[in-house]
Order: sequence, then C-alpha cells, then structure tokens
Amino acid sequence: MTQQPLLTVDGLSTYFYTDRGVAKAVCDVSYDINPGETLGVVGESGCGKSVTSLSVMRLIPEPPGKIVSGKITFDGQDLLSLNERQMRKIRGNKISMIFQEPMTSLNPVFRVGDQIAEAIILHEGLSHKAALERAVDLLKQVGIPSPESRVYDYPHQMSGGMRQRVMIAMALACKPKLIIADEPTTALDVTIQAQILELMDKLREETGTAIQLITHDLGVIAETAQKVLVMYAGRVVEQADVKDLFTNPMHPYTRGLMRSIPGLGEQEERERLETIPGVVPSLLNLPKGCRFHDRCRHAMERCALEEPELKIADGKHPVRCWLYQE
Amino acid sequence: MSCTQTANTTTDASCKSRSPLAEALLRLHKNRTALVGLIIVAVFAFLAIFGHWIAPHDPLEQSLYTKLKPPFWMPKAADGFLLGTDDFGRDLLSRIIYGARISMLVGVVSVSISLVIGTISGAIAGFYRGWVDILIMRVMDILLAIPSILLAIVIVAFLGPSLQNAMIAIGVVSIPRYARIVRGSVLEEYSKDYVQAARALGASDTRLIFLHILPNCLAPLIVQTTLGFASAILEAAALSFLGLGAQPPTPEWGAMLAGGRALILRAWWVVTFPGIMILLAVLGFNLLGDGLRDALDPRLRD
Repeated sequence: MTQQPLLTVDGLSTYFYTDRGVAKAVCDVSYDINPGETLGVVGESGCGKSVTSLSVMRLIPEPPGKIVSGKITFDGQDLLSLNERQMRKIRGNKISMIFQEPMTSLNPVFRVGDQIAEAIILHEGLSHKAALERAVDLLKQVGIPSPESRVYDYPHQMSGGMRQRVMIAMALACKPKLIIADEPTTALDVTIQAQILELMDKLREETGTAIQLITHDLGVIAETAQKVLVMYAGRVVEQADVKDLFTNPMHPYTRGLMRSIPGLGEQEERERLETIPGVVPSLLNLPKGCRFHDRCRHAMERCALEEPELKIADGKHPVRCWLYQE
Repeated sequence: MSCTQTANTTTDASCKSRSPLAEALLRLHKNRTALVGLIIVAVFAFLAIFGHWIAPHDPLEQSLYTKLKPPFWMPKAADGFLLGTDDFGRDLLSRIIYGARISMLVGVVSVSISLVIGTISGAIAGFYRGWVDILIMRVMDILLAIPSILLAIVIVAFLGPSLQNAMIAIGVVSIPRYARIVRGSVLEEYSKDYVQAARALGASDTRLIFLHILPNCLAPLIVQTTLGFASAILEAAALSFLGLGAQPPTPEWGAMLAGGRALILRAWWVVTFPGIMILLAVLGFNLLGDGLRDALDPRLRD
C-alpha cells in the first residue's frame, strides 16, 4: 500500500447557496483511492455522497453550487485548477460515471452504439466506423448477447439491466482509470443487481480500473468494496477497510445501518429488524454539535454541544464520535 | 407500437432498428386528414419545382387580343387558356402555377430565417438560463406584443417594398414562436439524466445543446415549422396584396388578388383562382401540421 493513490480528495467542501440559506452538502471530506481498488461510499439519501462524486467530476451546477475548499488530485493533476476545457478531456476519458437511472440516462433518440461511440470519437478521434466496431466489442465485454445487432438498437428497445450494461460499456469506452458509479444497481431488480455488481468487479480485475461505488446498501459494499467511507449529513463519520468495518463497526450510525439490514442467518441470530429513528437533518439547518446526536441512542450531553473530530480510535480506523474520544 | 414492447424478448428483424422518425411517419400514414394535407403539400411542391415545364404559357406574356377571357367551360372561352386570362391577356393557369413557386420560396426562406434564429436563441436561453434567458425572452416578448402584420409592414417600410424584404419581414416576425417552443423543450430536456451523462462523458456545451438536447426537442419544432409555412404564405400574400411584397408583374397570388380586385364583378376568375390557391396551400400545410402533431406526440401513441 505504498503506491501513489490514484485519486486524493483532501478537505473537500461543497456548498449550495440557495434562497433559503447555505446548504453545506459536503463538509471537509477527505479520502483516497488506489489504482484498481473499489471504494464504497455509504449513507442515507441526502448525505452528500452524490455531491462528493459530482465535485470530483467538477459537474456541480454553478451557481447555486460551489466547491468552497479542498484539493482534488487525480493522477498527479490538481482537478480544481483545471479549466473547463481541460476538465472535459478528463471526463469520460480518465474518469467516467455510471448513473443511477439506466432508464433515463441514455439519450432516447440515438442508437446505443452511436452513444458508446461518441465518447471514443470525442476523446480518441477514431472514425465513426472504427468507434462503432469498438462499441460492439464493449457490448460483448459487458455481456450483451448478439452485440453486432444490438448496437443498432434504440434505448427503448432494451430492458433496464441491458441499459445499465450499456451505461457501463459507455463508461469503459476510453479505458478510464477511475469509474464513479452512483448507485448503479438501485433501480434494478435484485437478480440483475447481482449480475451488474459481478460484471463491474470482473471488469475492475480485467482492466485495473479503480471504482468509487456510491450506494446506500451495505450488502453491496460487503460484496465489492475494499475500503468504505460512511457519510452522514455531508460529513465522513467513519472510514475503514471493509473487513474492519463489518467486524468492528464503531460509529453508532454505521451500527444502526448494519442493524437495519435483514439477515438470513440462524433462527437465534435473527432479531427484529431495527430502524434508525428520525431522518437526516436538513442541510440548511444542521444541528449544533454532532450532526447525528438527535438520532443517536448513545448521545451524551457533550454530543449536543461540540462536534467530534474524525480520529483514529482504538488504534484501528478513523471515526467521528465522542464515544471513542476523550 | 407492439414491436416496442416485444423487442426485448424477440429478435424480429423488421422492427429491430426502427428510428423514432420512421415510427412517426407510420403513425402519420394512418391519419387520413394528415395524408390529404401531405398530398396537397406534395402537389404544391411539385408545381413549385417543375412549374416551368407544366405551365402552358409564359406567365408574363401579355396579349390584348386575349384580354379577360373566361375559363374553358364558359361561353367565349379562348382556346389554350384553361382558366382564362387577366386584364393584360396573361394566362391565369400559368400565373398561378408560377405563383406556387413564389409562395413556396417565401415559405422556405422566411421559415428558415425564423427557424434558425428562433431555435438558436431559444436553445441558448433555455440552456444557460439566468440573465441570458431574461434578455432573449424579453426581446421575444416585445416582438410578440406587436401585431405581426403591423411589424412586417414596419420592417418592409424600412427596407423598401420587394418580395425579398417581405420574406425577411415575415421571417423576423415569427422568430418568437420558435424561440418559445425551443426554450420550453430545452428547459424540460435539460433536467433529464442523459444530459448529465453526456456531460460526464466530456461533451461540451455546444455539443450538449445541438447534438443531445435539440434532437429531443424536434417534435414540436417540426409541427411549428409546418404550420409556419402556412402562415408565411398567408402573410406574404397579405403583404403583396397591400403592395408591400411582390411587385407587378410578378405572378404572386396576393399581388394577383390586388391586381384583379377591381374586376371582381366583370371577371371573377381573375381573383378567384389565386384565392383558391392560397386557401389550398394554407389548408394543406395546416392539415399536415395537425397530423404531425398527433403523430409526434408521445402521449397520443397507442
């Protein structure tokens, strides 16, 4: 683990300036991803997972959004100092994205082959014919049957799982070093979910691409990720290797998430499914102190007053909680 | 369409890769009135392109001997002048055939002007929003606030009366219609995921607007273009009738109406036939436009 990380995000903060106030969607988030590694980012809806990844892609709509501080280094390049033109050369080429909704993420009026070919033509300057041939190969790679005829299909002729495969093929088109997958399986049914995750893992091994996998499903994380980032209300609350996290979850939020997954274990292991009471606080009106304290079963007096730091506790992994700090 | 639903499971080659356009044409085919409109438009297009072969006479050739001859079924009709002649002895049939060419030209030129400028400004307004949007759309509002024929008269008064200037005037007058339609569609499309996905693939703004978003806004635009043809023809005839468009002896329908207006009791055919041509042309484009609206509207698909 002494190699240079592929992506380093350091102290990233992204705010949205709305009419009703400043929404601190992402606050002081730091992490890194090594080449060929999968980083899982978990949290409920509205925790800043997607905003974090859009910040890396520099796709935050400005205004109202703004990356207020932080440093994003990708492959030795400072992404925040690049202009729009240089950034476009990175998007789809070095970093690509897979979106949550395969049903709407493909342009309905173009054949899927042309959509895959677009990125190749754009970034590698291939002829349309050569790019289309490559699109056929890519479709084969992502497991679409009879790709030679499927490249001529329109998106509405494909099922959700197929379209997500097409999205993956598009993301892979220029052999990116990093793929950011924003809840790639949420809109799919369970059997297809497993197939897509398996496919992504297989492609990661084959191509050595790093993956930043955003999800709210810890099961997905357990299967595919090596490192995990748990986010809550725009903050990283726990950061660990996947093994560490599942054997020794420390933050009450992480534990709550784990208890709210239905288990398929033995009778005596099976308990009543728990929920975390309450909802994620509004980013416009964050509570004082620890952002999780009003939903936390271990909340102390101190939690409502001061916000804890992200500190390595028990010599294991960083966690943002007063339970482990003096 | 049934093949849309089954395409996932079957590999029926016939419906494999039917483009959205082909599907729309298929639906158009089922609509009888639209088909009538299409036929009328096709006939006019044919007349416009091949008019010089079809017309029996030179539309400008005058002859005092054959002055004000009635159409062929009436007594005293002259041989060779099917629809009769006007007060200069010119063949009416030839003149209205050549008139089709002029009206089609007016339609193409003025619709192109308003389509290109309207689409680009509407797309920019919808895509960038903010002050650009406000600026562009308020200018459009001002244009819309003035009655179109009045505005066209003002423009022609500035540029001088000629067919060319009438086309420019008609083009300018209908820019806001296109701009508003395109802006609305772009606003709607902008928020869709495929736009973000294309951006994440490294597409530039221009590429996003013209390659990804605009093709998705085509349906209402095609309808408006077709209907725009009808109103352009009508407005050109109106301007020419007022003496601000085509100048005599150009065989323009509106100008022919103006020229024959004094003869309406003595020689009704001089004004009736150009009038019928205007009516048919406008009707044809309107029927086709309505049919296209039904064919392209996704909500009306079965």
